[in-house]
Amino acid sequence: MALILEIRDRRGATTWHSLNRPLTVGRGLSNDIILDDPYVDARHAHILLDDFGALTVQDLGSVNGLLTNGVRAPTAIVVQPGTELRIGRSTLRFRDSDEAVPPALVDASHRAPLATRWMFTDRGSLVLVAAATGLAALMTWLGTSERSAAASVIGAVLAALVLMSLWAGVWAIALRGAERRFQMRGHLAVTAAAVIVIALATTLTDWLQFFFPDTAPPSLAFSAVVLLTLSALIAGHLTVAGALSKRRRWQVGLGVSATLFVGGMLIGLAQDEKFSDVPKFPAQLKPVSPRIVPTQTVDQFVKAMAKARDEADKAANP
Amino acid sequence: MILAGHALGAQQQDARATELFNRFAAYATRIQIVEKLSGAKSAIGSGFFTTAAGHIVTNYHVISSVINRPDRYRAEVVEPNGSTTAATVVAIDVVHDLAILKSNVHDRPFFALQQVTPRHGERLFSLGNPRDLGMSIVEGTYNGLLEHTLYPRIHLTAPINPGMSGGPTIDEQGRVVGINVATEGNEVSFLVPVDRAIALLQTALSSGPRAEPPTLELVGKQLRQHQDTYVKEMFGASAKMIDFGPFRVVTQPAAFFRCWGDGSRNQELPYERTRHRCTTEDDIYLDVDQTTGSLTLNHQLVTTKTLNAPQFFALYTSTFGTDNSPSGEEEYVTNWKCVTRNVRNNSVTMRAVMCLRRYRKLGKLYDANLKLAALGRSDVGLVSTLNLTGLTYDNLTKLSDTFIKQVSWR
Repeated sequence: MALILEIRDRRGATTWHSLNRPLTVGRGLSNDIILDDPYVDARHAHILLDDFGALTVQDLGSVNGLLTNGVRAPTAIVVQPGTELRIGRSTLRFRDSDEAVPPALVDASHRAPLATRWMFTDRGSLVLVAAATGLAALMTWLGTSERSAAASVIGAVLAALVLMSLWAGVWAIALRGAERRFQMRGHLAVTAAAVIVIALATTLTDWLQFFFPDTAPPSLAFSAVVLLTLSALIAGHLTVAGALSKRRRWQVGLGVSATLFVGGMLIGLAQDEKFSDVPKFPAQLKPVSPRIVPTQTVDQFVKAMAKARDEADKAANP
Repeated sequence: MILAGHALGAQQQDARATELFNRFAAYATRIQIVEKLSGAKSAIGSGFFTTAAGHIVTNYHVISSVINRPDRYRAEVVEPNGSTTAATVVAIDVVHDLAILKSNVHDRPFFALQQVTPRHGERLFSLGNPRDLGMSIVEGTYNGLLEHTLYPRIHLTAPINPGMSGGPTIDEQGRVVGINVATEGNEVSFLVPVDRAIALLQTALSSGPRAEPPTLELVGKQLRQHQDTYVKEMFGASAKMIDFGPFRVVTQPAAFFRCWGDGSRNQELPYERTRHRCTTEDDIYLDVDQTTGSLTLNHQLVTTKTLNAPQFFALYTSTFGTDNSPSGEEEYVTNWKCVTRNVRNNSVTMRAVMCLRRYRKLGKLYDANLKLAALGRSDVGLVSTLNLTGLTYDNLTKLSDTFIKQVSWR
């Protein structure tokens, strides 16, 4: 077993050093390991084998010292695999050179569709976030009936940005991995893409329900879209973090969203059976010419009322 | 002089009421509904003896618990000395809010019912047990039969209070004119004309002592039998078409509807609402928290000059989706079941929703909430609602059909 020193500097860059000889650490250029960190002394610490043969880090009388778990350590610390020390704003982590690493992932990124690759570029993610926020603003503006829509539109923009950042942030933190790569931009891009898909699907369903009020498929199709989007969202976050193989990502995504979906459906069913004296119906009205709206005659509608009667009869005598 | 004369008149009146009270208080009685398990009284009311065999006239709404939950409630007659005697319900008229009880109290004097038509302005006296405070007499003035109601009601100017329900209102000769039934406060009170009680008593007497006691099934039957006459009147000769924004809509569906309109013009809002509403004034009491028989017609116009088309339609959608259906209790009615279609009559393309729910215990009776929203303009919309309660499916589809066909563009 040999120990490897992993240093993550204050900018997040990581370097690895083998520890086959004593090393000095500090900001000065004469050190073996040079840390460009204003909180680190010129000669800060010395890493060496002590008299008993244990690998030890010695504080060389530095200003900020060495911290273990946020507490200033004594002048000499014996380190083991997994020991973490903070020096200035940088982190020293000692790892076993025999530590197992996950198998290499199959790199399919060169085969990924152009759109997917574009999504994770700087420009792509910016465009997606802007589009999702813009959509929220537009839908709010078109849905408002106040004299001045500015307040609600600004509110919607802020809410969209905050909620998307929160969601992406949670994923970034949860999936940051051993290398502490947050990949916030990638997670934001994935989140924004999902928001756009759901917003468009909602609008489309609304219109379909307006044109075809007596057919169930719009809501069924909408459910399918939500299910797929949620799966893609989860798989997308895993892709950004570089976790799991492609197939596993989708399995996890589908598994999680299907579970949520079934749970939601059960809650919906339970609520449907609950008593309410408020009727539920698709109330959508859309600004289109009546000529393009498929209609029935009054007589057909009156005949169709029998369906409501039969359902009510069934509810009265289950 | 006038003052003196007036004072003398008042004294005479007082004397008359005292005399009538002394003579007739024993004809009336307190009635209470008792919860069988706990033995505690759950409701109180009044009634009066009308045969030597112990028949008592009261309101249906006084004894409704006994009909709705016979396993839990029973009716009792409270004697002047406070002792109680069991009473059974032998006949009901849910539509006119009357019931006949039979008790084993045979020693009390009783009112022999006869057809009486008082003069307008005649002094009448109501007997009853207001708020369970003891038998009382209240003087009032006869103001004729209410006009434009579904069910005949005498308008009496007198402070009738809760608990006096079911008690008799008599004229100066001691003849029963009507049965106390309801009040709207401020001395506006209503009586059921005595002829309804005469008819019900005949039913009770002719059915014999071994007849089955009335049940909810009978309530449902009475509601079904009663409605055909007034449903036939609706959208008939008294109905009028009025201009309402760019639309023509029906109003005053029948003489027994009251209609009024109002508008809201709020400078803060970029739209206006105008309402036109017609309702029947009277409904039928079924049980605590549950009435039926009310009919409502509602036109609402939404107009805007500043909203764009999608904004206006978002507002129009929410107006259309706002609930204005009759309320209901789970014990009595099912959930609403709705059918939504885009419909075109001869003139207007509209979104139409018919929601129905059924009464659980009254057989084939339904409530309906029919809503229409006219399509075609992005600056003005019409939401028309027809609420029907306690109707047969045939009747409510007939009315709905007429209602949908009458909406048109001007």
